[in-house]
Amino acid sequence: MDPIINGTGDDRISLWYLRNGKIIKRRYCNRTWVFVSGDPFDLDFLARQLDVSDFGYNWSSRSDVYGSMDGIEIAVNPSRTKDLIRSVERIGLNRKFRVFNGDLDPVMRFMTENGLEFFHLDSPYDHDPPVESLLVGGKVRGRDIAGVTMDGESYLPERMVLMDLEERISDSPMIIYDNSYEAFKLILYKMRDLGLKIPRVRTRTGSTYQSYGQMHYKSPTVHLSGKICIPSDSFIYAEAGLPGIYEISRTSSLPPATAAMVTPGTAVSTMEETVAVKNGVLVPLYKDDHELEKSVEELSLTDRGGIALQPEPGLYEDVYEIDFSSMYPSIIVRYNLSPETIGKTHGYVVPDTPYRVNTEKTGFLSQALGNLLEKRLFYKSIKWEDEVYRSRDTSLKWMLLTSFGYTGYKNAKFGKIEAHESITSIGRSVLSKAMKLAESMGFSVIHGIVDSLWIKGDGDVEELMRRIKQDTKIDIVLDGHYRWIVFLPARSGLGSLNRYIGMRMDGAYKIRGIELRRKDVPEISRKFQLEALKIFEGCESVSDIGSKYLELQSLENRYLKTMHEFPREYFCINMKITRRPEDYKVRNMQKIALEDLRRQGIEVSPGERIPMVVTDRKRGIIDMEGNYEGIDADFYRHHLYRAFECFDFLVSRGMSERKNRVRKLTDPLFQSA
Amino acid sequence: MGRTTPTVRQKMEIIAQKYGRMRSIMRAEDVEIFDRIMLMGRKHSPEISMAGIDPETGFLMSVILEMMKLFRQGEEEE
Repeated sequence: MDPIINGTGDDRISLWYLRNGKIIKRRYCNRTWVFVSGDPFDLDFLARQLDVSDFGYNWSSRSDVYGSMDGIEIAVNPSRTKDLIRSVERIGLNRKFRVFNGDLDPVMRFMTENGLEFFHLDSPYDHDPPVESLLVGGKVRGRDIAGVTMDGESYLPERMVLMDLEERISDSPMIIYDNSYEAFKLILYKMRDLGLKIPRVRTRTGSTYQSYGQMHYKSPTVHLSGKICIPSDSFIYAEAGLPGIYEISRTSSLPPATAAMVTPGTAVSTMEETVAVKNGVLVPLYKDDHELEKSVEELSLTDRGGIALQPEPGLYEDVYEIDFSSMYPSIIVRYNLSPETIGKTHGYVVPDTPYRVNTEKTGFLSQALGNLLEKRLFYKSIKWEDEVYRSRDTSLKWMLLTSFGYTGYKNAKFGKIEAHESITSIGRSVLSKAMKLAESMGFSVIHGIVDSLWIKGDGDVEELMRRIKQDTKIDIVLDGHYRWIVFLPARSGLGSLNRYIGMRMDGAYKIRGIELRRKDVPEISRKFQLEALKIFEGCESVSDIGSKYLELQSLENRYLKTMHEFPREYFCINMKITRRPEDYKVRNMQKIALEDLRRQGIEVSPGERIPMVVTDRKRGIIDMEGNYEGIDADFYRHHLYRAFECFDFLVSRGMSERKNRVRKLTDPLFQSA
Repeated sequence: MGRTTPTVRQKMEIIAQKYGRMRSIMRAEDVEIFDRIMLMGRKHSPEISMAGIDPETGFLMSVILEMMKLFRQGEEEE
């Protein structure tokens, strides 16, 4: 059968089949229903109202995750669902009825009810169907297009180039576009002004949102009629590319363009809805199962996250990192955690909580995530074989990661805060069991975060992992065996939880939290750290590291002394804008940049990043367009010192091991460590 | 889900900050020892969190534990 690569519409669903590289569209009528439950007397009243309307209905009995209920099933065209629900709620005075299956995505529901799947694979090893795609973007200067990129090649925005683009757009069913600073939109408008043929364009403005205390910006989106349009800044596209989007489309039954735009959380939530539709389980329009009553003491006992140990800052040799695979989703599946299985009366007791979990029947959430988890563990085991498998593994990993968070989200259809609390509680108990087992088998625990442990010792690590899996029911794998690993100190002097540099036995580095991994540091800091890492590349042991003291110092001196000779792009720093210019209380670099851009008629939204070179910080001079010469040496020197710190700590620890040289460390950071 | 209560690590930082106000009128020779005690107090927040005990008591317990480690180290060196 020809693979389905897209689906659009509501009352009439159009499915795009791929046959010999060509798209064939087929249209299907789509009629659906919503289910309304409530008090029999109220339902009877509703039925009488429906008798005098043009909606058909029948009395039936259906089940949600908690069990069966009687109600009315009302047939409706998807485009009229909202109107119908509004009327039903008005009749029920907004409190008498519960509405189910009222806000499901029409394409998802059509695909699921008819047993169809996007990008269907006969075998999990198969590659995705080859859909021709075009990667397009541009460079903006002021409000004009200064350049066009097609499949990575840059061109000037001349008529011939745009004519070529016209042909490419016409030939490619899938367009992956970069619309930063509205580049793609401006290209399309320019093409239209030149009289070139382009599909109908729909645009949506960019938006700023806050997540976990951070400002983020979503670029404005563009949709071309008859094309699958994917923004290149889509989270899943950036993380897992097209195979990742196809995998999300396959699992959640969302069309690829939608799969690319939604968050992994929405994707997993839609996947749960897919499982519900497939199994005939009703999906509530609004969730009304409230949090169980609990005392303040119970709240503080249950409302806790995963364990994060406090590592002792220092350099360690021969360290193993063992990781639980998809720990939280595995807990949901193996410990049968689901809204309907958690209560206070039946089943096993969740440690440190007043909850019990009923294991007589498999819970809905455990069932829904079971297949996803199995699939992810499969691709995780073969991800080394092919980039496509790696991408599928990444997208499934993100879906599973967010599946846990969604159990605690108040509007999640199948979420319940008690499930969230039980997951973290079992997670803590699993990690502490693993720690104790490691210690009993000849290892010492250096560090541990939620689902990972760093251990050191002479024990048998394979046997340890087997025992942990047997005792906890959760898969655990060896994520790394390090020749050496340094856990870096925080400013307070305590060990930083997530800043380390480790060298694996195969010579590859694993790095977390240092400047190299940050987006808000100048390029020169990153370049220095990359060169510094090269110095330590051949170090087999801790004492080898100490011998690199002079080499490191010479590199640091070279960066400090010859800073002015580095190319200008080394001083570029991508500053994140966190508010509107008028909301900045201090005239800092972000505010200066925003004011400069505003004068040029460019508005930048909070969450966006602006590349700039700092020319004179005190006088507030920054350079965004190459108009100034020179750099603020003090500003960049300060950043370099910060970039030196972790390597100075590393080498000082190596040296103290060698006991052949003592370096006077003036920085209190090192003394306290 | 937004957390409804601060983590034990956050509570320990608040306790250390509160004690930290003592530094302003403390003699220089005491400040060094005091800073070390503050560090000791925060070293065991994961264990305090796991046990679900009151962070103020946990802070003191952590200091005692670290001091006992120092005593033992001293004994071993002797």
